[in-house]
Parts: sequence; C-alpha cells; structure tokens
Amino acid sequence: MSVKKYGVFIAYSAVVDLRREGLGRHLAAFVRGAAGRDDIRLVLAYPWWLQGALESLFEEEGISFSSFDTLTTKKNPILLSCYNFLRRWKKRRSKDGERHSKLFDLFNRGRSKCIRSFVSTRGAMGFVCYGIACCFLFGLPSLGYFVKKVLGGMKLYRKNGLLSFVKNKLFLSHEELKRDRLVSRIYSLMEEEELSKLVDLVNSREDVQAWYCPTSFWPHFNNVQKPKLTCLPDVVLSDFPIKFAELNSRFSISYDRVKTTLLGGEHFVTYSEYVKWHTLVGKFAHAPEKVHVIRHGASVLNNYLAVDAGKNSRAATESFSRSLMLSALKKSPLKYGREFQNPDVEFLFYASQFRPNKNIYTLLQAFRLLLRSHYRQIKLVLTGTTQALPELGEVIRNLELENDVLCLHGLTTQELAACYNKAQLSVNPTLFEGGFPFTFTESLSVGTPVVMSRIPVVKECITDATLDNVMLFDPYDPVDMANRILWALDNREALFEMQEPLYENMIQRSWKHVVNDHFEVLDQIGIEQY
Amino acid sequence: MDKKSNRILWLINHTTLREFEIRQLIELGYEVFVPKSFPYDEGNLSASVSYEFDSRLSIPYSDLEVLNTADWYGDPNDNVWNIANKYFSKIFFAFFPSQLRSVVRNFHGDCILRPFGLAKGVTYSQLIEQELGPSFGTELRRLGERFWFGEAYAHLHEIEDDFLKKRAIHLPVGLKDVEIHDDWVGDEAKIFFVCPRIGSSPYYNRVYQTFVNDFKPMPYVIGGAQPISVPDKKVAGFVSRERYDGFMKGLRVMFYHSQEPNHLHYHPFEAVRCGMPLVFMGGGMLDSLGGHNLPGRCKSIKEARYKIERVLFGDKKLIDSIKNEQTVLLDSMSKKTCAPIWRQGIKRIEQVSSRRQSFPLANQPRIAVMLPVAYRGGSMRAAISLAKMFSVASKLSGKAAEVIFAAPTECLEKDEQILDLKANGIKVRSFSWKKLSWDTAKAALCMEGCVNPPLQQEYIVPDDGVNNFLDCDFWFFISDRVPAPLLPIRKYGMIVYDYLQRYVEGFSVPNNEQQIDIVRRAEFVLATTDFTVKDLQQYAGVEKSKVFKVPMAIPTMKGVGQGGRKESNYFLWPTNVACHKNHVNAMKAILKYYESLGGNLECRVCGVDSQLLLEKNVQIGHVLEARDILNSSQRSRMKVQVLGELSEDEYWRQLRDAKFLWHPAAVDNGTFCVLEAASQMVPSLSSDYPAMREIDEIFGVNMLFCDSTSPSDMSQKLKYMEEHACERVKSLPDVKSLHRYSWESCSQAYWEVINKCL
Repeated sequence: MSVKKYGVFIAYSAVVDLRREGLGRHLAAFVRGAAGRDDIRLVLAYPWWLQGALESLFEEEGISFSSFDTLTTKKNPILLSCYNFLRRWKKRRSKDGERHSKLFDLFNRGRSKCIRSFVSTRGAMGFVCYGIACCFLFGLPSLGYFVKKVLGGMKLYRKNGLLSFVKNKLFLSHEELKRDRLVSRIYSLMEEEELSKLVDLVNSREDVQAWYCPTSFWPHFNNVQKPKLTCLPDVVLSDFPIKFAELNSRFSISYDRVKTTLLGGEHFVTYSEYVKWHTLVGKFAHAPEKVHVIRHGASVLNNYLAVDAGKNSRAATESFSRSLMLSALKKSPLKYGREFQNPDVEFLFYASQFRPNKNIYTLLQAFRLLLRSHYRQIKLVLTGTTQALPELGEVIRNLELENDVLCLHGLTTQELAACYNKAQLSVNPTLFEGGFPFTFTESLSVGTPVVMSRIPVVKECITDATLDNVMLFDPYDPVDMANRILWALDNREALFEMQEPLYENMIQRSWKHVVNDHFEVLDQIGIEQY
Repeated sequence: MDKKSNRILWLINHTTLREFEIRQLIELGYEVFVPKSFPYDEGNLSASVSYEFDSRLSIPYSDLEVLNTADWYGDPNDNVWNIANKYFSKIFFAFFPSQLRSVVRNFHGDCILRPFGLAKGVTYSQLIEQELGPSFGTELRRLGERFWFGEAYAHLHEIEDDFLKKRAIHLPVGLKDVEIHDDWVGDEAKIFFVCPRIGSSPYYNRVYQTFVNDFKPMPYVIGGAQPISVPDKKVAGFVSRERYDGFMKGLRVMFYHSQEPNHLHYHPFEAVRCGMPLVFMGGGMLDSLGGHNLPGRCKSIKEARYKIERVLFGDKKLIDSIKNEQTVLLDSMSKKTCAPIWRQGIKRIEQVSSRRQSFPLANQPRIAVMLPVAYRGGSMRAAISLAKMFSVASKLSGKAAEVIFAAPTECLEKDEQILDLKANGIKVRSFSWKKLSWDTAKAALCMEGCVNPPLQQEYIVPDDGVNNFLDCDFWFFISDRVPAPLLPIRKYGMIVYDYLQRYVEGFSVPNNEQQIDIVRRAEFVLATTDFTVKDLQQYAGVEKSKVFKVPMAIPTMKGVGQGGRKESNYFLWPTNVACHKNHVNAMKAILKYYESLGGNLECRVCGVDSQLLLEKNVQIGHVLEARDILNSSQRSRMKVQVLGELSEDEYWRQLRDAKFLWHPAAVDNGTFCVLEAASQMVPSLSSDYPAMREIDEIFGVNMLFCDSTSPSDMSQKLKYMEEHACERVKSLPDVKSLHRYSWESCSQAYWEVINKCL
C-alpha cells in the first residue's frame, strides 16, 4: 500500500504550553488520527523552539514521536535563548517575591533591634559598634539612590538615557516583558526569520502531498508552495472590534496577521457554515468551493466522573462529584465562595473564558431578573476570571451579585465535569462561536440539560422547530433568556428527554471522524493541484 | 450564456474608452448598455453620449427608455435598479463615489470598478473610505467575489489594500486605432502641451505653472478643455476635433510632463499615432511601455529643454529617431495586445460568476433606533413611533427588518410606552455613551476592516454592555444630539427636528459644531418640515441629496373620535422650560388676559419639567423672569395652574376636556399637540411661525395664529378663543382625515429612505 504524506505546519510562540491550549489538543487528535492509519504518514514542521512543548504534549497524550516525521529549524537563535533565560529569570524573581519580602522583614526587624540596642547601650564599645551598624543598615537602602545621583552628576545617567533604558528593560516584570513593544518587535523579527527558514524547509519536501495549518495566525504558511489547507476557527476580533480593542488595542496586530493569512490562503477548513459564508466568502471573498466545513467531534465528560463500584456505582459517582464540586468551590477568588459548605447548591452553569463574545453581561442581567424579579434562589457559576475582562467584575459588583455569581477559574477537567453534573441547568449565552458549542454534549453527557443562544452556528445544528423553541433564546434579550431558563428549570426532565436524541446523534461523531474528514480534504486538494 | 448573463451595463461616458472597450465586449458576445447622460463636471471633460449600441440590446423598448433617462452618476431610483437587475449580469463603472455607493447597494450581479490610476500617494482604498465613510469599506468587502477591481494598468492594485489587491483583474486600456497615420507636418515650430482644467484644478494648475516656468522662452500652445478661461493667449482652451487634429499635424513637438506612476493620459498616444515627435519625462508610466531608451525620453527638465530646442530648430536626425522609435508605445494599447487580456479577464469573471453559490445564511436586517439623550415627552413619543414605523413598513415591504429601540437607561425605567413597543415585537435595549481613546478607536476600526482610520483624539460609541450595537446593520438617531464625535464604525441616519440655536438668542447647544459634523456624516437626514429641510441645507450645510422630507406622522391619537368632553373652563398650555417656549411673553400675555381683558378661563400648564416654572429655587434666567411676571398679579397667579409632567392617560384627559390648546412658543419644528388636540375636537391657538403654518396647511387644523413677539396680540387672541372656541371646533378636520397622517399611514415613506441603505 502506498503511503501518502501530509504535512502539518505549526508555529506557536516560543512560550506556549501546548498541553493547556485547545489547539494543542486538536494537534494531538490529528497526529493520533494519522498514526492509526496505514496509508498516511504525517510530517510535522515546526520551529525548534517548540520541541520541548511538543515533547510534553505528546508525552501527556501518549503519542510516540516515531509515529510521524519531523521537519524543524534545528537550534534556537541565540537571541531567543537570551529571551528564554530572561523570562525564566523573571518568573523565578516573581516566585521569589514572597521570599524576598520575608528577607526584607527580617532586615527591618534586625535594623529595629540594632537601633534599640544603640539607644539603650551603656558601654562605649557597644555604643560605637551599634552606631556603625545603624549607619550601615540605614544607609544601605539609600545606596542605590546615591549611586544614581553620582552617575547623574557625571552625566552618565539620565532619565531617558541609555543606562536608564537598559535598567527599565531589565527590571520589567514577567508580564511587562511579554507586553513590551520593543521586546515584541525584536521577537517578531526573530520569528519572521525563523518561520521563513521553516517555510524553505517545507518547500524542499517534495514527498509531501499537501500541507495543513491548524490556525490562521501564521501568514508565513501562505508561502508554502504545495497545496495548502488552512484552518479558520473564527475571526472573532472583527465581530467584536470595539470590545476587544477596549481590552487591548494590540489585538489589531493579531487581527492583521489573521487577515493576511486569510487573504493569501488557498483552501480553508471551518467548523461551521456560518464562518464559511459570513467570514470567508462574505468578508474575504473566497470561493465557496475552496472552503470546507468540518464539524467538531463530540466532547463528552461522563468518563471523568464515572466511578466503577459495582452496584453502588451511581452513589459512588454522586459522592465523587460532590467532592469535586467542593474542590471547585475552593477556586473561588472570594472567601465567601472558598468556604461555601454546600456542594449540593443549586446553580446555573456556564463554562467559558471571559471574552467579549461570550455575552456574560446579558447572562448577568438575566440572572438578576431570575433572582430579584422571579425570586429563584439559585446561583450562577462561571469559569472565567474577571481579570480577563475587568468590566465584568465591575458589573457583578454594581449589581451586588458578588455572593451569587461564583467565578471558579482554573478548574481541572474533572472539576468541570462535576460542575456540569451538579448544575441544575447549563446556559450558554454566547453571541458568537466558530462551531456548535461544546456545552451541549459536555452537559448532556453528565445528565444536565442545556439552554443556548439562538445564533447561526447553533441554528445549523438545531433544526427541529420544537427543540428550537424550548432550548434557544435571543442572546441580546435578558428577558427572553431569563424566561427560557425559568422554563428549563421548571421542566428540567422534559427538556433533557427532548435533547437526548440530538445528543445521541451528535456523540456518534468522534475526533477520528474529524481527522479523517481533514485527510479527505487534503486528498482532494492534492489531486486538484495535479 | 443566457440572455441576462449576456448583457453588460457599461456606466462610463469616456469617448476614447468607449470606442475600444465596448467593441471588445461586443466581440466577446455581449450586449452593452451605455448611459445617455453624464454630469457636466470636471471629471467628465472627455465624455460624450452614444446611442450606437442600443439597437443591439434585446430588452423591451419601454425598459430601455427607463434606463436611458436614468441618472447613473447619482442615485437611480428603485425602478431603474429593478430593470438593471432583471436584464443585466455585469456592471462596469469608473470611480465616481456616489455611483459606486449606488452600484454596491443596488446591483446584484458582478460589479467591475474601472480604476485608471490616481496621483502618486493616493490610493483607491483611501479614497473610498474618505468619500463614502469607513463603514462603506465593509459594505464593499461584503460583495465578496461579486466585486472586481478591473484595473486599467496591471500594477495599480499593488498599492491598494488587501481586498482590492485580491479582487484585481487586469483589463488594459486600449486604443481602437493604433495605426500610425503619419499626418504630422510640424511646420509650426511650437511645443504642444496638453493641460486641461488649469483654472479649476489645483493639480493641473501646478502642472501648468511648472511647464510655463520651465519652457517660458520657447513658443508653445497649450491644449485641453478649460472650463474656466485662463488669461494666457497660449492656452487654446476647448477646441473642435478638427482644430485639435490641426495642432497634432502642425505643431512641431509634443511635451508630456507626467511622471505619475499610476496614471497616463491619452494624448501622448494620439501624438505617436499622428507621427508627431513626443518628448516626455522619464519615471512615469510611459517607461513601463517603452522602456528607458526611447530617444524622446528625458531624465531632467534640462534634457527636455535641450531636446525640444533641437526639435524646434529642425534637427531632423533627432526628429526621425524619436518618431521611429516611439511607435513601440502604441503596442501596449493595440487590440492585438489588449484583446487577449480582456478575453482572459472576462472569462475569469464569468467562471467565478457561474460557480457562485447563493449565500445560504441571509440575515434579517437589524436596525437600531436610538434616542441619544434621555428625552421624554414629544421626542420619546416620536422615537417610539419611528421604531414602530420601520418595523411595520419593513414587514409590508417583505424585508421584515428587526427593529431594536435603544435609549438611555433612565428613559426606559419609567416610560409606559415601552410596553407598546414590546407589544409590536420591537426589542428594547438601554445604553450609555462610552468614550474611546484614540488607540482603542483605531484598533477597533482596523479590526472592523477599515483601511485608514480617521484621527480624532476621542470618540464615543453607544454601549449596551454587549457588542456596542454592532449586531445592527444600521443606526438611526432621533435628533442630532449625539454628545461627542461618533466612532465611524456603522452607517447611520437621523431625523433632525430643528436648529433653534439659529433663531433663539441664548439657546446654546453644547458642541454645536460637532453635532453639525455628525449630521453631515450621516447617510441621510430626515426632516418633517420644509423649514427644517432648509435649515439642514442652509445652516448645517448638508448635501442636498442626503436630505429627505418625510411626512409628519402623528405619533398617537388616543381615543380618537370618542367624545366624552365636559364643559370646561380652562385652556391647556403644554410646555417645558426650554427658552424657545417663550415663557416671558406668554406670561405677559396671560397677565394682560386676566388683568386688562378680564379673561375667565383657567390656564393649565403641563409638560416635562413644567413644574419648575413655579419652583422657587430654580435659577434659570427666563424662567425667573416669567415667574416674577406671573407673581406680580394675584389674580393671574390664582388662575394659572401648573400640572407638571402628566401620565399619558392624564394628559389625554386634560387635553380632551380643554376649551382650547395654547402653543405660544417662539419657534421650533412644530408641535404635534395641536394635532392631538384636533383629534379630540379641541381647537388651538398657536404662535405664527413657518413650521406651524406648514402643519396648519397639511393637516387643515385651522389654528388661530398669534404673534409670539407681541404679548398684547397673544392676550387678545386668548380672549378671542375664550369667546369663540366652540365655533372653531366646527372648522377642525374630521378624524378620518387626520388618520391619513397616523404613523402607520406614513411609515412607507420613512422606510423607503432607510431601505436604500440596508
């Protein structure tokens, strides 16, 4: 049997931990899918700086490096090694911050003791010794200031001078280092050069029939000469430009990269008809036949909770779920949540990062109506952090919902499964997703029904009018959302039963199907080329 | 090819282009329509009309007639576009902004823009956003594969934004006839320099001045149409074709100045065809056609002067070498070169067009009707009516737009009319204005796809907490009172009621200049009276074509025709505390009415904030003065009763039972109160100003008018109404005739305007 070779082009940044990224899991599924086929062998092309991250990812996913070929730039540029060293040092410094603070306390206590001894000493020798020690201990913190002044006097240190500049850059915090414009600029140049080299390597591989790129953030992929397929999950930045710009105006740089990739791309994969037509055909003028819709595989969570205890399995699972729920509550940033004692608390659940398109604002308005107009004694559990979207924290405070809206960030997959399981209802108020939200299968898999936004990607899959009426709401209308939630809470069992057939149907599609669909498209575009 | 895909609208009137391009299209098997009129402006100096191709068109004569009379450079009406969409599959058009907008919004087939290049440093991407607003770029991109950047020169796309680059297709400029005629005699030792529009275009004026400075001592003739005459005997101005040909034959040499990298004129080619020696500056587009070694090419003005001098002195060797070698320039314009490229280009358009699938996710258009300031009373009622009008009319038209009513939170908390909106299927959202810094605004516009974000220091956006109304396709503002520069991220229109600041001294509008700017940038502006239409043009300076007069629609007529009136002993004065309500004169009139004329009726004052008229701690100048006047008479004070802001039901009850309604305001856009009163069979006494006269004329309310500047006249008319109100009831219009102006009846006129922008 002849073996076809397909390439996967990846160029995540040097600091990414692929195990924590959805795209990492996507890549793992892809590689595993290929490993299970005799007729296909993958070639993974990546810059050398990803070697470590890939090793960790595949080790965690149980995938052997021998199951695919690699194509990489070999060795990192010295500048990147410096950057990595600086980053690790910064990280260590911020971790050491607490220890430093303890040292500082010790220093203060010593200084205080010294001055007490000095003022109370009766011996001449003690007076002199303590005096010198006091001068030293009090003078030490001023030494830096003194040195700066001397250098300033010698015209070697100016506010906007080179020394000041170097000092400022060296003493950036870990987070500041990531955001610093100069550092970013230098990093971009380095990345540019390295990825160009990677593309040269890719173009030298005649044996690879077609190349796949799992995201649209790397315009360099457009320079690959063989048939190429780019995956576009979404261009959410362009659908929520004001909100994202308010979060960080530098999102426009990311958008530019995506735009360049999309304008220069050839064939695309999206997860929904909506992104195909609205974004790639509608906004970027691509021919519809060059855009292939490959839907997600189902994501289920029941296996994370199921405890095999024979006859008592159900009770054991329930007990396990309760303990996980308590552990999830401990992740609340507030003491109120951390010390909450009732794992059987009734709540609505929305698992999502906080981003402008997630529409948490309207969910909060709807929740407020439920609590204060309909007197439903229920909580709302979210999984994002308000640090990601500070204005949401303000809304929660302004609505005085701090003790009823719990933000449990950083949940493990098991804790996530437990939250879904323990929730009265899952609510997904999103305004935009690239594909049908995972909420549906994840929630149903652990026995909890779902209500969702009536948005195009959802409508693509919920074609039954009755189901549409009972489980979808207008995401812009808090009253409609609240009414739908109320109905679902009152008709929980009925809703679950109505959703079950669709769930059963959806879980038939595994990630293996998804990967095979990708290979089919790669086959097709490879043949078209010749 | 079916009949429709066989037809092209070629909306260009350039004579030389037409001679070449239409023939190309005909040879490729197309029927072509060309416009029969064009604006006689700067951009159309080389334009003409031709009926030559009409006979080939296989469309009904009556439809052709409609197309022939259409204004293709402005905004052809819906009927014209319906015919165009029925019979034609492609449209070619040059860069005329209003034409571009109209084509993009109305034509359903392939839209091929014909760019011929711009001055150095200017791009079409920039111009599109500059002329039509940043949000138009998004509209254009939405055409996707239906749009083509049909560049006349193969490199034009290189400086454009990514979308135009991607949509570029080369359709070269050609000449019908590239045969060398060699008619040139050159017996007149003068330079022929073509430079049109010297007096009207700063660009060409600069070209002219430079030429004169560089070649002053030499003899020359300047050709090219001059819409404004130039006081220079050497400038020939517009000449007949024969005389122009005479210049080509008789003058010794042509000088072509242009070093523009993206634009080329026709006249150098005409010279070459005629056999006239062409001396030209290198570095321009001629280099790309003839290379760098043509004998007529000059690297500097000094070299040009030297070569021209030699030609003028009759240096035969140089003349011959220039003439012999310059013929290469015509090669690129020849049919032999251009036809295959045209064929290939049109084939590509056809291929893409034939495999185009229809967009399966057509969205219902969504319109946000926004009240920019927390108004209550009349403005709120009008806003609610407008939302209902758009909703109802869109459904009737079959487009079924989703209408969102948006207002500041404080308006929505109290107003009972919101329930009415919800009952009409209109969603309601509250919002506040949010400021955006320059870099945030810039980033937002970039992510929206804007190529050249404008550069104001600060912008505002409506914030609904969700997505800043970007889910809506169009924003419609009730009044121009948007409090700061609006981020140009969505197209918007508005209704403007009045410009009181123009007429009422002391009526200051904060940020007046900026509000005017917001009106000017709107896609369209609606007004309900001729008076405001005129103000929009004369005061706000809005382009005429963007201003639409729509019928005054009566927001609500509660209990129409249901009598129930009691014998009343009061008249009703609806007002608020704004100074144009003319409180001082009104109070003086009231004083006279009670003190001198023995007025018997009670005066009941109602309206938003009207209770402030009697509140002691209010320190508004004109309110203080009015209150002092009223308090100076015990009798008057007793007779005037201030009701304040009334609920809807109470307002209608007070109105229904009044003897008459008094509207003593100095000036405004007219008040609906008189119509509401008429619907309750209550006559009105109103100040005499244009908008009220218009209302009287349109609705036949038969108001009694008084002079708002004369308290004496006002008081006498009050007395007159006291005595004759009952008789005047008979002259009120019947309810049916008023119903013709209900919001439901008027909604279509409003919808027609907004629909053009969706």
